[in-house]
Amino acid sequence: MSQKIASDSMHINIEQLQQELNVEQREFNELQQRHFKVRAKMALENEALRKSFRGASDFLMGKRKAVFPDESALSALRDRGEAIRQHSLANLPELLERLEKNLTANGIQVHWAETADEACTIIHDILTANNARTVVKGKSMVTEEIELNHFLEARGIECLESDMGEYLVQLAGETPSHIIMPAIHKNKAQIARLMHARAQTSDGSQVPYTEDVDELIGNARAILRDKFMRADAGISGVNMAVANSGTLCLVENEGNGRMTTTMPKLHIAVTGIEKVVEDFSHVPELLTLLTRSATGQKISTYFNMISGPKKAGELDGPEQVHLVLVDNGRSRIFSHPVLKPTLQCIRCGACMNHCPVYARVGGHAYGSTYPGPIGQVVTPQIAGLEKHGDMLSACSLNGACGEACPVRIPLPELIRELRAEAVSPQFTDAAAVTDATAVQEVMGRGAKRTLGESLIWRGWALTHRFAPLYRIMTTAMTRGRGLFRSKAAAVLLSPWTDSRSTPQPARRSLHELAKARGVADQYQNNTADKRGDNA
Amino acid sequence: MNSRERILQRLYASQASAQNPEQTSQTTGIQAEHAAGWTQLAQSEWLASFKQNLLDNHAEVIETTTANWAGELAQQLTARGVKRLLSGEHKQGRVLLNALAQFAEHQAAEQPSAAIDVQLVTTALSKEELFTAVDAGFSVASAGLAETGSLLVETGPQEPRALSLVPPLNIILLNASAITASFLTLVQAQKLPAHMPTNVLLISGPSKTADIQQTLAYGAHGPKELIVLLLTDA
Ligand code: SF4
Repeated sequence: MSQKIASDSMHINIEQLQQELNVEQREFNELQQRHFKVRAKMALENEALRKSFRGASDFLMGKRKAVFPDESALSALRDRGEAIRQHSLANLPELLERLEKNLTANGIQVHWAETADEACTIIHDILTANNARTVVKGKSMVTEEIELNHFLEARGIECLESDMGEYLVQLAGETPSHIIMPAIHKNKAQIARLMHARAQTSDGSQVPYTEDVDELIGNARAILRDKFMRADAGISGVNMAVANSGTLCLVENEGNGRMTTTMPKLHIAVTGIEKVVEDFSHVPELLTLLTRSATGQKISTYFNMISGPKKAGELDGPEQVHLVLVDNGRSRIFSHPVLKPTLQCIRCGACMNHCPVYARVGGHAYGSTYPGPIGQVVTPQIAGLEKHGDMLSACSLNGACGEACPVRIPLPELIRELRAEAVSPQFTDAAAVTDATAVQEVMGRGAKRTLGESLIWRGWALTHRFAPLYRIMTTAMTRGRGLFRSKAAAVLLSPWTDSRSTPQPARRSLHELAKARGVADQYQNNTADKRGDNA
Repeated sequence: MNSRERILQRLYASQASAQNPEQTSQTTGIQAEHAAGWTQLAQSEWLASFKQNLLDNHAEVIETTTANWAGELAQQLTARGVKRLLSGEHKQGRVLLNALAQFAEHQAAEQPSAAIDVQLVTTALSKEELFTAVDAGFSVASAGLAETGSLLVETGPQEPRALSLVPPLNIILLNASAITASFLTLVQAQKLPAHMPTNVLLISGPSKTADIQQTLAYGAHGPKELIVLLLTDA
């Protein structure tokens, strides 16, 4: 049937299309295995991709700006958002215990998972205990983080993403490229091909080829509604968990979150431990910051507050509700005095929308669940600097992300701190952490440390601390300035000079010029106190 | 020690050693200058803002009265060709049921086929039927929010969750006097139920998505249309 409809206008050969998509998927998987720099380079050379991200970033930045017309009101609201999130973190363990107590009183079963694997196992156990074979999923970044789909599918449980973007990404065999708009990297034509080649209606037939967005959404709607009707279980994320009332809050526009948490008889919510807030009085401002920063909406279509499974007398809703609290490195982040604000994040995506690097390389280049500035901060901390430390270089420290962040996370500072962590010596023994015994080192601390580089920096520090050495260095550089033009220098400096002009020291140092003009040398006078300062 | 204890132990240990004194467990400062953070609408603007926000979000707002709403809705439903509507077992549902029966009598002469089947649900809903054979769901909101054009729907035995979710047409009734400035003022005035019902919703339009190339499409998974009946005299 589909061929007939399609051939009317497009002459699409379905088998050929399917083969093309298989090749694209294989290429995608291969690329995701490669080094960050390779992915970034490939992305930069892909014009369609750059257009998609440029378009989406401009669109989302514009929408956000329009919905925050008043700078000072925005600033005040961000102060509130920051205060609320910091308050939640300052009281995190107490709030988690209170949340657990109130959720349990409401009939929601609470589980704790230290690692990704433990979280997956807990969820799998709940599903098997209830004979659940088919699962619909609401949008949840934590379940992407713990790679739940792979885990469940390997054990014979069908896991269908139901957020439109996530559904398309899953259909393509890819991963989300943005935390709010997962299929941001695909354009209409690509989605039309994808739906036509791979989506199947409930009666098993192919979806007709169309590039009309309403029709595309209509086709996906029909497929997914059928799944909502039949699924054994629904798995969702959580945007905020309210400790005082024992309530799980979900923010969404599509209705798939409500479907996931309402229609199947079993609902499992999964969240990072940082998502708790103390009281409902903290929710409205975080909600408004979230939707305005994410998509420029005053509010999302649905704000769904769940405080329990179906009660006696109620006609619908799940019979069981579970919450899985996932640590997966968060308690380690919590212990770090500088990196702790990482946990303030409300996952709005504004930092990536405003990041000039993200807009150019796109989400997949980062090779992690969370891309963009927040991804650069979160990923190395939960998955290790060895594997993900390279993405820290994808930042020009321009500061746009920090300015956009609705809860004022100092993202550039955190990126700098992590860069330092990556080249700092590891804590060798307990004595190295004398002042704050609970601080745990960042996973993979020192992974990027090399002997050569640390010697160079030590030498650099030394020459700047001792005036005679500094004089020798400046003299050598000014007198030997011709060497910078030599062939050897061109090779040695090429990583820098490939896209920048070659540095050229002056003929005379500033010190010499000043001396020639009769400025007195003050070095002798304050050398004593200067030394101490620079240590 | 299990995972729960290990996670909590780590968190408590870090908390105890946090050097910054303001970062310790205090509830001060956070409640204090509450409303200061975000500008609130004046009461005179509530109604206009409420309506405008809903219109901006692709909903339809019908201003009507306690005496007339059911009749007006009957006309709307007929005009849209609605065949089957579900409502919770509540007062307003019964009013609607009667109005539609009367309307059908009137119409029977001209259009014998136009009768709308209205059912007040009292037993568990068949999913199959709900997804495939119901055109409209009728719900009653307990509050409205001017700043965002949102409707507060508290589900329960008389207000099943699925009625505002599954049928393609979602109709929500609201007393204009129940409109308040914003979610923040609603929460501050402690108008959220002290013991939260199992599912409370803020609904601000029909379901939608912009996941395909930032192009807005309505009727993503839930209702394609939202009609708000605003009772100006109640
Ligand atoms: S870091 Fe800030 S801007 Fe980025 S997603 Fe989190 S809350 Fe939003």
